[in-house]
Amino acid sequence: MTTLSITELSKELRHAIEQLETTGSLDEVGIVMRVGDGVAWIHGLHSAGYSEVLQIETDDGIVEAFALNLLEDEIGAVLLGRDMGVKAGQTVRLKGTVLDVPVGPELLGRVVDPLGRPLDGGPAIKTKQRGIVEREAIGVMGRKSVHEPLMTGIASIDAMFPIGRGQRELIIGDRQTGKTALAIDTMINQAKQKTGVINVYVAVGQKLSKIARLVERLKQEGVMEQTIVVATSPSDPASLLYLAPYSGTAMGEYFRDNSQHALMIYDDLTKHAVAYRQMSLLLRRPPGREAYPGDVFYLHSRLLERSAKLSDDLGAGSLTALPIIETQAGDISAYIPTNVISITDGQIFLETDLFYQGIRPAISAGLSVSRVGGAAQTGAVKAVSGSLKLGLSQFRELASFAQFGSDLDASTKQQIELGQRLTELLKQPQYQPMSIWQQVASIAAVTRGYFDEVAPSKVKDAQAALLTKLWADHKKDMQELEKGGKPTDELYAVIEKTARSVVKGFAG
Amino acid sequence: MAKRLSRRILAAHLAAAVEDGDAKKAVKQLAAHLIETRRIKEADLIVRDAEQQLADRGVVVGTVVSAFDLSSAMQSALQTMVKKETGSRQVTLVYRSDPSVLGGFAIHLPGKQLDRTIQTHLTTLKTRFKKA
Repeated sequence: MTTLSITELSKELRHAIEQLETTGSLDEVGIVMRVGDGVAWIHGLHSAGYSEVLQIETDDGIVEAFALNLLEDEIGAVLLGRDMGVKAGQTVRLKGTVLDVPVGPELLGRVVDPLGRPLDGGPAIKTKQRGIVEREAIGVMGRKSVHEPLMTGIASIDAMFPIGRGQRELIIGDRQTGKTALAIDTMINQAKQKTGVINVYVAVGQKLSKIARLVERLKQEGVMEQTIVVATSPSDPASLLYLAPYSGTAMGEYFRDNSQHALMIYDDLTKHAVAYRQMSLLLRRPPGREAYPGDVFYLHSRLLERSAKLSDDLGAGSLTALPIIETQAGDISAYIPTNVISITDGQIFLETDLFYQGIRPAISAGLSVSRVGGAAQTGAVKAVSGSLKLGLSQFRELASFAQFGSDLDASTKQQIELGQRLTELLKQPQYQPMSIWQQVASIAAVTRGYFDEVAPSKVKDAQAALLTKLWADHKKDMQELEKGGKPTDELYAVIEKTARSVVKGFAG
Repeated sequence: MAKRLSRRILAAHLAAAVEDGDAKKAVKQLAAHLIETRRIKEADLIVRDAEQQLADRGVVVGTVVSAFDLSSAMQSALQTMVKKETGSRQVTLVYRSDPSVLGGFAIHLPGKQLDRTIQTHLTTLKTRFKKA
């Protein structure tokens, strides 16, 4: 086809559209039969599609809903707002679109609801593009294996359970074990290390005071400029809680599709499943295990499958997901936790016991795993942390065993002491992510035996002294180490020399 | 107790009877069935469904609402437009004036509507300003 004919075709098409607009055609309409608990039952609208947006004409303006139950005689639609103004007999129209939200860089630094409306009191958000909320995940050929690291800045994670860009790593644990703290530290690290990764934090049914504190902290740390917060509170309708993760993902996908890297944090998917259960029960779908509907697995699998590392042909962008799941009394074999564990590429399990022992982050070395991150681990960290996970797991078993007797052989004693030093070393305060050189130098000092004479209780002090001295005396070497390459023998020698010199003051 | 029939089947029966000119008997039967099966609340919906089924068969009964009485020329134009848009062989429009629509007109057909009233335009504007 020539260029001329395409131009003519375009003209004709425009003309046809203009004519259609001026003549005005009949709209398909239905009526509200009954409404309650955020669900409207609608008669008519036989051509409505699944997830299509419906507009209900109320006295107070148009209220939107989306069709979820398409039955023989009626449609079950979930309202995207309060059901106060919706009454039986009101007219319902098809909007002709599925749900979409504004996407683009204009959203950075903003707090929005799942429909993209500002919640931070700022000006209206005007974006050039809109993204489909329920978009299909990218296919096999559009993907590439995970191979670039996404540093969290938390030594225990980066060393033992590395996360790669495009990976889905679950953060799971009981309430008050530091799940959100891990996610926030990861976001802060992206700003501190200037990785260019965009953060999208999705709060599902979180207290507004908690969200306000989080936003304030992110502003303090200078992270908010590269962050989007999608917020829903417990008082929001279940439909908004259900939509929040999908809307947030649509916002993150914009960056992924434009050759950038984005990090999604879903806090948390347990509340998301509960919101979906509420909607499903009100829509009279048959309840299954724990009263969740039969498609609750698909609810999360289709969401997390959208996180991916794209192929070079598609721009090589990535979308990494850190979903959070709250367990009850450490039970990871409950319905939703097992579902999400099987969907994700690994999990970081936080233990209440460790948390109250003062081991924070309270990561369980035995139950946590990263299934694809090994290929993406930074070379420098990988070089020093080879036996870290095994050593720590063995130590925790030995430590409980050693409580029963005092006669231990020399090698067991040595292993326990090493484990104690490692445990102390991996303790890390909140909001203080570590850079690559800090992690490498600290771990090498313990695993390579430079800190063997340091009393376990003084390991943190020795570590601080080592890092200060290394930065003061060998800044160039540390900057080299920061690039992430495998440390040379000369670099090890520098760390050893400095470590041996600071050890004297912390001997046990 | 009578077998519970779906709304669609009841509407199809009613529509067929109306088309055959035997509506009175069918309405009596339907009323008895709804009382027996305790589904009186569904009467309005069945009538709507029956109207829809009649429309699918080419018989359209609709209402035109306007703020003021429409001229006969206008009524005739609307009749032609509805016939063309729906492709029906028989169109019956009932005209009603309602000052609350403020201006313009709205055609209500089974399952379809053309709303060009000022009231609806104002509702749309109200929503748009609310969102902004």
